[in-house]
Amino acid sequence: MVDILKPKEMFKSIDYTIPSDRWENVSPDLGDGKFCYPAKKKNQEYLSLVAKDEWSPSDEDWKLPSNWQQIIHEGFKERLDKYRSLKVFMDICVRCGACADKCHFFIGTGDPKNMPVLRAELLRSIYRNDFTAAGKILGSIAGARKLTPLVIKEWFSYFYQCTECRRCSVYCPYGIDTAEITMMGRELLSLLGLNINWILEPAANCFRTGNHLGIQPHAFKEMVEFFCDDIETITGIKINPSFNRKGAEILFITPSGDVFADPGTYSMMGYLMLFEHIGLDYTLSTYASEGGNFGLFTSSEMMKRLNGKMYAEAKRLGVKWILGGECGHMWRVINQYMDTMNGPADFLEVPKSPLTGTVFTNAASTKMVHIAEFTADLIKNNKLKLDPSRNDGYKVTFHDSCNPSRAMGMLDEPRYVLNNVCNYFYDMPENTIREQTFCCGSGSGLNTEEIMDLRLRGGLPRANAVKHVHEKYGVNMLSCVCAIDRAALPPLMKYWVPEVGVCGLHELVGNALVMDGEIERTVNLRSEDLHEEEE
Amino acid sequence: MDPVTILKEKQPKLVEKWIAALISTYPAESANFFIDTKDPFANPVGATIKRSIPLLFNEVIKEKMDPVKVNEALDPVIRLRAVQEMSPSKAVSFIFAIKHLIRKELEGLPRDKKIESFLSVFLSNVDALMLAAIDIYVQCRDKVYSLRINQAKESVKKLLIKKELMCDIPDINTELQTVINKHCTGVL
Repeated sequence: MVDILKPKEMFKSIDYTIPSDRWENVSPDLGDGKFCYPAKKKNQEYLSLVAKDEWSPSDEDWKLPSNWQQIIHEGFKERLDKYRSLKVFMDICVRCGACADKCHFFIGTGDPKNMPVLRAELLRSIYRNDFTAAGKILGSIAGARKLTPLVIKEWFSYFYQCTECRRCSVYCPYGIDTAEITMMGRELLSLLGLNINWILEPAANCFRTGNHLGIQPHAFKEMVEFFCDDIETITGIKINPSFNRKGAEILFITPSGDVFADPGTYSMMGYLMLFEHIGLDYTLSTYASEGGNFGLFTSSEMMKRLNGKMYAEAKRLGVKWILGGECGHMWRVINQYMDTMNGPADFLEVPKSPLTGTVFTNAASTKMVHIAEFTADLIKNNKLKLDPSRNDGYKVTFHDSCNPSRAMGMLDEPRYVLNNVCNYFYDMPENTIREQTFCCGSGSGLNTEEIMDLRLRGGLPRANAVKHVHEKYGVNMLSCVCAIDRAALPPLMKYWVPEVGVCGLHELVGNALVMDGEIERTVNLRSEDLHEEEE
Repeated sequence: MDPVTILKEKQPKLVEKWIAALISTYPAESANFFIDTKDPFANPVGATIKRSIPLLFNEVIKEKMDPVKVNEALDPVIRLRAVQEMSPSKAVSFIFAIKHLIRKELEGLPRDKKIESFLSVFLSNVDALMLAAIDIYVQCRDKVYSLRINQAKESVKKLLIKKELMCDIPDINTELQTVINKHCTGVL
């Protein structure tokens, strides 16, 4: 809720002191620990991007190419011509300030340049200078400024302090998508070879081995088989999933984090158990073994290339449609950009649940369905037998991941599933969930350890809301539907609310699911004693 | 008159000033936001400060501070400031602001024994607060470093174990204990 001040309070809150210096003159702090490590040259080369020799943001001289101003100017012009939205976003802001206090980085840091309006102004001031008559004639009076090396440093600092979560956009009366401004800023930086390694290495790995982590096909297969062994120990049921099987009805794609990193691995076990139980005709791909798309954080071209891979694989295997796992930004790419970039996927069929007959018309063009929608539909049609008491050791809350909530409007399906698979579910306060959800603080490729401080203060608003439900209801488990969340939220919790763990939605589904022919469950998917938890 | 009674009467004003001194360590543009935005979920930094400072005030004017209450009040503020891009000294500096505020408040009063003895206790309380703050600050920084290290370590550990390139020490159960007893007892 936005505070509405009474007139007296409003007058009292006006600060008449003039800031000691104009914002343009405040240099960004690029000391150690204040920036993400730059991309390695080989990763840039592998992706055919501008390859820059080794450098550090803390260097005084960034050794930009001699024509760097021309590169930025032409790159900016090309994008203004290409994207009408960018031009509108540059022109239309009236600086009303509605977005100013909505960014988790501003809320956590108090740094004015983390106000979305000012972050966008970093780009707008150059736009006015280079592309508007008023800016060319009136200069700083019209809010224009010259492009200097300091501006580039400022861009690098602040466009990599934005997680592209789009919370600010929810409050903008004009609907300016500040995330797209950050995306453009990063694209322009990339033209000078200024990228960060945490983004480019996964993108390069995805290109080479099919997933961010560089897991090779045989290792990917073995990892999934290990999970099947664990599932057999826990449930007595042996699962044999297929890989790269032509003619399967459905291709299942999830973030590679689910195959590799706890606690995502428990969600992977949940998916496998669910598919086995309902007898789904699906296959996994060792080529399209990544749902995430770090191209989104680099450039639209890179995003298109990585997204295209999933659809190429669906075509090669001859499946009817794609089912997607618990991922965050994958769903923004699918819902907002896929159709323009690589769509429509006419060679696939409009997704239809083989169990319930439900046609997912919301995915009529992209042909890709989110697993939370799929599972919610199964539960709604009484296709699953569930024992929510197996999750009684958990008092659960739900973190709406930024992209599934704000980029695809998936707000109720995960809650519907949660209410069916656990007995204790408590939502966080209204202004911190659903479309107003607070980011984990580590999205858009910022989930790297060298900026842990930034991530912890950016994640404070989320952690603060978790702390509230922990203190009020005894919540001890934070569920989510995003692999980056599953990697970013555990350290966030360990710092701010150490009593709360993190899990994926389908881990809880896997716990509650009563499978045909299963043995009596004594442990949950984490191999923790079920009865001990109930005590 | 008892100085504690006077200070308790003036508490709201003094707390407000102490909060203002703390907030002044942030950029001017954000200070208003931290002070004025009342929703604790929209403004966790401001809410934390506004919750902690009155509690600290209550403690610091006591004859004997309660270490548990001090920790409860101090930890949330220091935890914040430990990750807010400021030097360690700046992060804890706000504690000393209360010295000046209380001295000023008692300035006009005749310097009797009561005041002298109160000031002596009060000043050592402030010192104790500062020491506690330093401890919490260092604990928080240690936590940040361990989170950084563990992210790198944990990200590969599971895969290495699954691929049997390394193994963990298993939990010791009765069966394993029997094996250990049988084969290892007396070896050393």
